[in-house]
Amino acid sequence: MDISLMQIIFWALAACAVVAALGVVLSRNAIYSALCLVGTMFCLAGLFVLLNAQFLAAAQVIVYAGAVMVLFLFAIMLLQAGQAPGEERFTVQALLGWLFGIILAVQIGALVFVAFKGQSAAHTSKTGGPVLSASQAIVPGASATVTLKDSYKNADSKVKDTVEIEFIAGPTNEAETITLTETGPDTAVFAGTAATLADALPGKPEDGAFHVQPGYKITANYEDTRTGNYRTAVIRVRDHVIEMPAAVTPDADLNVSVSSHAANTGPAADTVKIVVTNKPSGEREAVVLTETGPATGVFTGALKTKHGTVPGRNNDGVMIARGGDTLTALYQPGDGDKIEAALTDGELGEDEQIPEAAASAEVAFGNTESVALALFAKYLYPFEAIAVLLLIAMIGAVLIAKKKLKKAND
Amino acid sequence: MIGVSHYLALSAILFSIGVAGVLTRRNALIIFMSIELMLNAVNLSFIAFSRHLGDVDGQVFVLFVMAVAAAEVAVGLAIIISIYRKRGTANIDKVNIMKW
Amino acid sequence: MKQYIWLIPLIPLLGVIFNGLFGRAFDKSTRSVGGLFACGTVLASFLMSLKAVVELSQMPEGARLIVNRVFPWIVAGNFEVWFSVALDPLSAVMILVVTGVGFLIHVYSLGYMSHDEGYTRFFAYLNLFMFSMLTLVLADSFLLLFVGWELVGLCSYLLIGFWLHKDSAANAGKKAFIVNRVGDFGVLCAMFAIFGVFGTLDFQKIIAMVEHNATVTPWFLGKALPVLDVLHTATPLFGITLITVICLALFLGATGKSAQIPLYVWLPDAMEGPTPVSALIHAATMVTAGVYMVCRTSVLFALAPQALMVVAIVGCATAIFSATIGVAQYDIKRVLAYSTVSQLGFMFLACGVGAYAVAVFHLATHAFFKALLFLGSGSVIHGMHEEQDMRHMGGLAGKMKITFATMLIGTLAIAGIPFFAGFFSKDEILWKAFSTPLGEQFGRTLWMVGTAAAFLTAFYMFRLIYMTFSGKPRWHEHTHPHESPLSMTGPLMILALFSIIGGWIGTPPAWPVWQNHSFYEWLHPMFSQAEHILTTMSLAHPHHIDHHAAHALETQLMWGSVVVALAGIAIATVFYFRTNRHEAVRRILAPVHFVLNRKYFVDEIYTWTIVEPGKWFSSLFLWKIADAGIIDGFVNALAGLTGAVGGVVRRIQTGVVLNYALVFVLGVIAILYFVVWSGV
Repeated sequence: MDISLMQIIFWALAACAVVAALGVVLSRNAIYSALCLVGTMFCLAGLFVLLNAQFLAAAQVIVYAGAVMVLFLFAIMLLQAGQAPGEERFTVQALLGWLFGIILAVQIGALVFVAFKGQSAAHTSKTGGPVLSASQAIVPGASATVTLKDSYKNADSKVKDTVEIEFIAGPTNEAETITLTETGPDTAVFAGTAATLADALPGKPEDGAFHVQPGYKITANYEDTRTGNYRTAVIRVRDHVIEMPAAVTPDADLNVSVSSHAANTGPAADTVKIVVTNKPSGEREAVVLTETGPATGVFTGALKTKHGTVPGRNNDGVMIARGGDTLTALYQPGDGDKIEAALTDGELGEDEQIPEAAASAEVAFGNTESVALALFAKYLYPFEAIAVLLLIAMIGAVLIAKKKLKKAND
Repeated sequence: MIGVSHYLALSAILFSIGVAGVLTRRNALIIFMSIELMLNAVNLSFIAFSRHLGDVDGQVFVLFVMAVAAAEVAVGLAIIISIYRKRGTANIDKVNIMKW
Repeated sequence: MKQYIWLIPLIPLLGVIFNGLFGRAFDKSTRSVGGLFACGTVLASFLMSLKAVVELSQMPEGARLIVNRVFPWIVAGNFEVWFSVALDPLSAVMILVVTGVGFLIHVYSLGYMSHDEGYTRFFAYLNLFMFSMLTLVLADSFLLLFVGWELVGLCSYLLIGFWLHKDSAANAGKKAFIVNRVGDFGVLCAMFAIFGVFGTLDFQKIIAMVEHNATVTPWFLGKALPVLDVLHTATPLFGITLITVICLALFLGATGKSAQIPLYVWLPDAMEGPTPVSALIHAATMVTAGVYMVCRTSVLFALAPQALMVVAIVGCATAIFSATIGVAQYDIKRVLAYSTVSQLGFMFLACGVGAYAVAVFHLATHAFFKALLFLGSGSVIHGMHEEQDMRHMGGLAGKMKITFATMLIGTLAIAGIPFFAGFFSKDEILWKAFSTPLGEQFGRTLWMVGTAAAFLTAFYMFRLIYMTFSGKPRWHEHTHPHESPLSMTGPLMILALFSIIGGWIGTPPAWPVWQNHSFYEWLHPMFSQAEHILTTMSLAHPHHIDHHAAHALETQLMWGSVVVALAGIAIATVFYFRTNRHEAVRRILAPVHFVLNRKYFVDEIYTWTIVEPGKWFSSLFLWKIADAGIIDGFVNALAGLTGAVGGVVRRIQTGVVLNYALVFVLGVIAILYFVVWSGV
C-alpha cells in the first residue's frame, strides 16, 4: 500500500483537528478552549486547501481564526470567565451529552458509509464532476473520439463498465447512441468513437454512423445524475480540421495534423503548408505536412521545439518556447478557397504534462475566480442580504452590549 | 486515496464533538465555541461535497455560513455580556428564566 | 364611455373616502369643502350617467346592453362571479333618477345640514349610499345586486340613526335594519334556489336560459331536465311550485326593502333621520329597490302567475291600508312616509298585473314629486325650527312662498291631477290593473281599491297642504318662520319642474293630446319577454278584448279617476281649508280616528306577537341554558382540562437551556436513525 504525500497531510491535519476539537470541549479553562478552537480552524483551513478551496482557506484563517476568535478572547477576558465555577460537578446531563455525541458521530458515519457504499475512494477524490470531452472538429467521414470521465458510472470496480450517450446531429436531427467503454477496470474513464459518413442524405436514426456535411454539428447532452446538471459536448463538422495536442513539453516535437478532403488533390501523397506562431514571442515557423497515404486526406507533420527565453528567428525549423507560451497553428487552404481554417491552441507546460481529459475541469474548478463568479452572478442577492445581515448584527451587538441595565433584580 | 467519505467522516466527528460540548459544558462562552466548531464541521462537509460534485455552489454557501457565523458571534457575545452584567455569571445553569 | 360604466358607482366612493377619512380635519368654517366635494362626485356621476345613457340610446333598439366585466370577484371551482356592471334601458332609468335626484338632494343638504355637528359624516354616509344604490341598479348578477342591497340597508341604518344621541333615532335605525333582515332572508333563499336550478346568478344568463328553455342538472334532481319543467314541476314547499317559491322569496325581500305589508313598519319610523335622507333614501331611491328587483326579474315572475297575484294583492292592500293611516297623522313627515308606502303599493300593483314599465314610470315620477314633497317639508321644518307637528303650523304660505308653491305642485302631482307627472303614471297603473290578464274580476277589484287609495291620497295630501300653509298661524311662541336659502329652494324648483313635465314622456293611450310613449318604447325591450309569457298564458283562458271598446273604457276610467281625485281635494277643502270643521268630524268618528292615528296598532301587535316572545325565548332559553349552560360550560370544561394537563406537564420545563438542547439532540438522533436504517 503506497502512501502519497496528500494522504499523509490529510491524516495529520485530521488528527490535529480532532485533538484540538476535543481540547475545545474538554479543557477547564476557557482560554485554552479558545486556543484549541484556533488550532482546529487552522487544521480545517489546511484541509480546505487540499480540497482545492484556497480562497475559503484564506477566509477561514482571516475571519474565523482571526476576527472571530479575537472577539472570543476579548469576551473571555472581559468577563473573567476563564474558569467558571460549577464545571467540576458530574451530572447526568454531562453523561447523556457524551453518549448522545457518540451516537450522533456513529450515525452520521453510518450515513456516509451507506451513501458511498460501493464507490471506490480512488476516483471520488481525484475527480470533480463528470467530464465529457470529444473531438472539437472533424471532417466528414472521419470518426470523432468521445471521452467521459464519471466515477459515478464506475458501477463495478472489477470489470470494464460501459456508458451509452445519445448524440444528435444537426440540422438533420439524426440520433445515434454511442457506447463508451471503460478504458480499464476501475478507471472511471470511458472512451468511444462516433463514426460519420460524408453524405448529403440524412441518415436513419441508430444506423451506426452520422450522415454529415461540412457545417453540421453533433451534440451530446449528458446528465450528471447527482447534480442534475448537463455536460455538453459539441463536435463540429468542417471542410478542414487542424489538430494539435493540448500541451507539449519544450524540447519535444509538436505534432500537427490537418484533415481536408479538398487538399487531397492527386492520387499521390500530397502536402499542405501550415504556419505555427508563438503568441508571446511572435516567432513564426512554416511546417510542411505530408499526406499519410494516397487519398487519405489526412496530413501530418512535426515541428521541433526548444526551451529558451530569447525568441528565435522565423522559419529556422525550430520553435523557441518556454512554459506558458501559446502556440497557434494556422492552415490556409488554396487561394480560391475562402474558407477559414480551424485553429487549435497548444499550451506549453514547464515540467509536467497536464492529463489530457481532466485538464479543463481541474483548472476551472475551485479557484477564487469561479467562486467569485458564482457569488456575484448567481448568488448576488443572497450576498447582498448577508451583507445587510452583518451590518444589522454589528449594530445590534453594539446596542445590546451598550444597554444600560437597571439594578440587577435578583 | 483520500475520498469524500473521509472528509465527511471527519466532519461528523468534529460535529459530534461540538454537540457534546454544547450538551456538557455550562460556561456560556465554551458552549458558544462548541457551536462554532459545529459550524466549521458543516463547512468542511460543504466543501468536500462541492469538490465531489464539481460544483462551486458549495463553496459559496460556506462563505455565507461564515458571514452568518460572524454575525451570530457578534450578537451572541453581546447577549452573553449583557447576561453577565445582569446576573454576574456566565453559567448557563443559572440562567433558567425560560421557565415560567 | 362604454368601458367606464363601472366608474359611475365608484366616483361617489371617492367622496366617502374623502369625507370619511379626512372629514374630521375640517372645522366649521372649512367643512363646506367636504360637502361641495360630495356634491361634485355625485354631479360627476350624474354627468357620466347622462353620457352613458345617450350612448346607450344610440345603439340599436334590441341590442341596448353595455356590460363591463371589471374583475373576477369570486372564483371557486366552476362557480365564478365577476364584479360586473351592466347598463340596459332599465338600469339607465334608475341611474338617471338616482344620480339626478341624488345630486339635487346633496345640494339641498348643503343648506339643510349647514348647522349640524356631523356635517362631513352626513355627506360620507350620503355618498356611500350613492355608491351602494348605483351598485345595486348596475349589478349584472344577483350576488352583486345583493351586495348593493345590503349596503343600501346599511346606509339606511346609519342615516336613520344619524342623530345617534336621540334614542328614538337609534331605535328607528335598529328597527329598519332588523325588519330588513327578514326580507334579506327571502332574497338569500331565492338566490340559493336560483343558483341551485340555473347554476349561475347572472341576470343575462338566467333570462337566456328561460328564453331557450335550456337543459339544466340541478343537484336536487340529479338528472338533466329542461329548466321550465324543473321550475314548474318541483314542489319544495306545501305543493307550491319552485318558481312560485322563488318569486315569493324575492318578493319577501322586496316587501322589506320597499316597505310593503307585512314589513312596512320600519319606514314611518325611519322619519327620525334628517329630512334629506327621508327624501333620498326613504322616498325616491332605496325604497324603490324592491320594485326594481321585481322588474329586473320580471321574466321569473311572469312564469309564476300566483306569485304575481300575491304581488298585486299585497301592493293594492298596502296602498289603501297606509293611505287610511296617513289620513289621521299629524306629523308632516309621517304623512309623507305613509304616502310613500301607499305609492310603493301602487308600483307593486303595477308589477303584479304585469305592467312593469308602468311601475318603473311611476317609480320615476314618484321620485320627483315625493323628493320634492319631502324636501319641501324639510324646508318647512327648517323654517319652523324643527317643528314637525302640523297642528302647530298653519298660515305659512305667505312666509315661505317658494316652498308653498313647489309643494303645491308636488301635491297636485301625487293627487293625480291631469297635466302633472303623477297623473300619467298612476292613471296608467289603474287602467292596467283594470285590464289585467290575470282575471277580469280580479282586475276590477284591484281597480276599485286602487281608486279608493287614490281618492284618499288626494284627500290627505291636501289636508297636509291646508294644515301647513293655510289658516291662522298656530305656531309656538318665539317661532319666526323664514324662507330657506337658495341651496334648498333651488332643488325644490328643479324638482317642481320635473314634477310637471316628467310625466309627459309617457302619456296613457287614452290621453287626448300630445301623445308621447317614448318612455314605454325605451323600456319595451326589457319587458317584452315577460309580457310575451303573460299574454300567451292568458290566451289559454280566452279573454277577448275589443280594442275599440277598451279604448273607450279607458278614457271613461281616466276621467273617472280625475273626478275621484278632485273629490278628494274638495272634501279636504271643505274640512280643512281655513276652518275647524274637521275637529267636529274627528269627535264624531273618535274611535275610528283613534285606530287610524295609532296605525291600526300594528306596531303593538308585532311587539306582542313577535318581539316579546322572541325576547322571552332568548333570555330564558338561549341565554341562560344554551349560552351560559351548554356553550360556556363546554368551553369552561375544555379550559379546565387544559389547565389540569398543563399542571402536570409543566414539570418538564426546567428552564435550563441545556436540558432543552439534550432533548433536541435526541430528536435529531431519532430522525437520523430513520434516515440511516430505513434502507436509503
